[in-house]
Amino acid sequence: MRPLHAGRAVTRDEAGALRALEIGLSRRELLRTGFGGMLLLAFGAVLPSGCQTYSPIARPLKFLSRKEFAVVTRAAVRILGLPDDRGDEIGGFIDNLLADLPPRTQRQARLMLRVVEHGTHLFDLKPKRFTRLSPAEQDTYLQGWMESSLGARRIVFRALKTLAALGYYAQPSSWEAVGYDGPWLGRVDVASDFTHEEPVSLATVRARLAPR
Amino acid sequence: MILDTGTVDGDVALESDVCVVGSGAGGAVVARELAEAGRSVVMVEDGPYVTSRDFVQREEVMYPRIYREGGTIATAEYAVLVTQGRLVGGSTVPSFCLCIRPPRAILAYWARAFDLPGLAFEALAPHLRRVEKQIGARRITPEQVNPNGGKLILGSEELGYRGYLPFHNRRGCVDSGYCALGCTYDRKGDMLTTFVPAASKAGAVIVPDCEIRTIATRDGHAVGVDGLFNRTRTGQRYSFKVRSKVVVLAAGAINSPRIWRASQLPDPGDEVGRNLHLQPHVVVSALYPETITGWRGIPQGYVVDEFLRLDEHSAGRGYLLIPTSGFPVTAASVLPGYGAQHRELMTLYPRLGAIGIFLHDHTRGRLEFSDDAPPTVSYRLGTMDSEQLVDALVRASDISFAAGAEKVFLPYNDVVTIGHRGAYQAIHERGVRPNDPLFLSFQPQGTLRMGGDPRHAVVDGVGEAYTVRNLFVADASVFPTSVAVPAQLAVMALASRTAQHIVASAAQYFA
Repeated sequence: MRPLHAGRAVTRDEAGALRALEIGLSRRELLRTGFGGMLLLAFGAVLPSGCQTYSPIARPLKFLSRKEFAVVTRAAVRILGLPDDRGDEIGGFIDNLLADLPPRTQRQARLMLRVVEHGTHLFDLKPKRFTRLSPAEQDTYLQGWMESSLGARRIVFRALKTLAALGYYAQPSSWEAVGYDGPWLGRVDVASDFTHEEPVSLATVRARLAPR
Repeated sequence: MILDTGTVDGDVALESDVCVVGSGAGGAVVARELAEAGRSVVMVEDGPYVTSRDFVQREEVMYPRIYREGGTIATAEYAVLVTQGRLVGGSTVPSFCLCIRPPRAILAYWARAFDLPGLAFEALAPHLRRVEKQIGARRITPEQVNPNGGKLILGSEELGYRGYLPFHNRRGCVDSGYCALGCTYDRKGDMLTTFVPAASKAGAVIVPDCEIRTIATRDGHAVGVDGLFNRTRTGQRYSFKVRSKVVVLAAGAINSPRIWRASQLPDPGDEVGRNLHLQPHVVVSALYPETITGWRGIPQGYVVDEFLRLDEHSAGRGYLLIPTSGFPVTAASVLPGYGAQHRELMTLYPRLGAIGIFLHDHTRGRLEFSDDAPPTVSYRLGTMDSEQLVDALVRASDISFAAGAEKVFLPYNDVVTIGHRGAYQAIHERGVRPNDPLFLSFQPQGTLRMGGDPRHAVVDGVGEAYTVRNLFVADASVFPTSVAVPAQLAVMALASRTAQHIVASAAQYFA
């Protein structure tokens, strides 16, 4: 028996799931790198990915599914302590960001969000998934990840927090409240005095390296 | 010249005297010096060719664009986030520009303990002086220190701790503070504005957007490299090949050993990928009564070296304390806390100062390789380093209070606040565990170690591989231990030394 997080020991079912998880996690591909390194991705891989029960989104999404959008927006507003009505804006921003990332990072992000959505069953023995919990329950659940004795859960929290920070604090609308005066570009008159070389065609390169 | 990979529409094969893999502090120096010596040089870079026109001062744009994996490579237990630049010019482009010479004691220790007499300070000094001149290294003036740096000066002087204004490679700095996102105003002497254009002017060809996968060998000699383009006119990943008489590996302490291993080069001592040092970096934040605006100005304008204890008989121990800062996304990611507590901390952002702890680590991690993915970085902070870090958290907190801080926030996941000077029990009780506090690493090193004994080293005293002739390594992979200070100058000086050796031994390598 080992604690999943403070104050509660692991049941036999949980321990089994955790062992299975650790086996998956020992694989290099999952242990390796990525969006904050999501150690729990193996768990996510066997979880349902359907969106049937999630509300339609008003805006078209480039990358996230409705389910993933719901998870990331709920997590972001709870972690950053924001009003619920900022969620769609943050989710849309994160959707745009993730759409441009490499496929492996995208896959890890998807799995992470799935783990967070369904981890309620494994870690908190809740009958409801994350997005169905009350705000107070969501706070308790996410703080369980933040304070967990299991390093893998802490890093998932770190990754979620980084995503949330990107989704909110990268937006100019958030800057005034934190006193950030924004980029200089376009408003402060400073120019570069250096001329960068223009790249050349392959034919020009071949000519340079031709035998002398 | 720099290849526009948008014109590539098929497989490419080139021939040259020298192929350099990587365009950062090591690769660009070697490429320039060999090109200026009259050698035909191809320098290949995994990342894109982006310049000041692309540096838009926005975190969400620049992190994915210029950092490897968006700056989120994590060690296996996620104890440390490793941040490396991935663009022409390498990590020198988004760097904080500290130009600190490798300490005499470290070089003396390397020379003695690893049988590397050529690394003694006196031997390396000419190379240091040359590269310092070429990147415009100069001392930061007191007027250039920003308010956050000023707090470190005030607090450390109050407590009698030794420190100094370091050298940096900026000229005409305009104090925008966006160093970590690439300088929009080209005021840095990074590789992008110094050694890369100089190499190009001397005849080198720079090939961006190209991932080198293997080194080709024949009869125990390196004869070129093979890779794939990341960007082409059609979007297809065409093959790229260089056949050369000398290959210089300068892709950094994670990628250089990856290429070595993928090439199935000999490693009789099982040394490749071992001996990894990360110089972990941890940030302590402090709330001051007045506005600090730490994101503006030169981010790292002062260095406290009171706690770096070096002698030539050991690898030494300790850490540097250096001011640091971040823009809102970084600050929000690094600052502790959850929900309303985190939001409240963010509203204090203009009044927050920060001290970065820069650990001279003894911990030796390793890379674990697989065929189809980048290596796993395995690194868990050892007991001595953990003790050093706890000490550093206490010292950084104490300096902050001595400088007038009202509160100190420790870099754990949840908010651990120190309300007054001396109340440091929380630090001792909490200690250190993987990913808590958050560790960052900007300068991995040591994974293709240099040494005089081929049983315990991968490259010899000039950087040439023991087991593959005409193959050199010229990046932080070759450091025998942590270099104890920011690595840029040490990498450049060692690379210069390697290049000069190749030039001086031309008959051997280019016959």
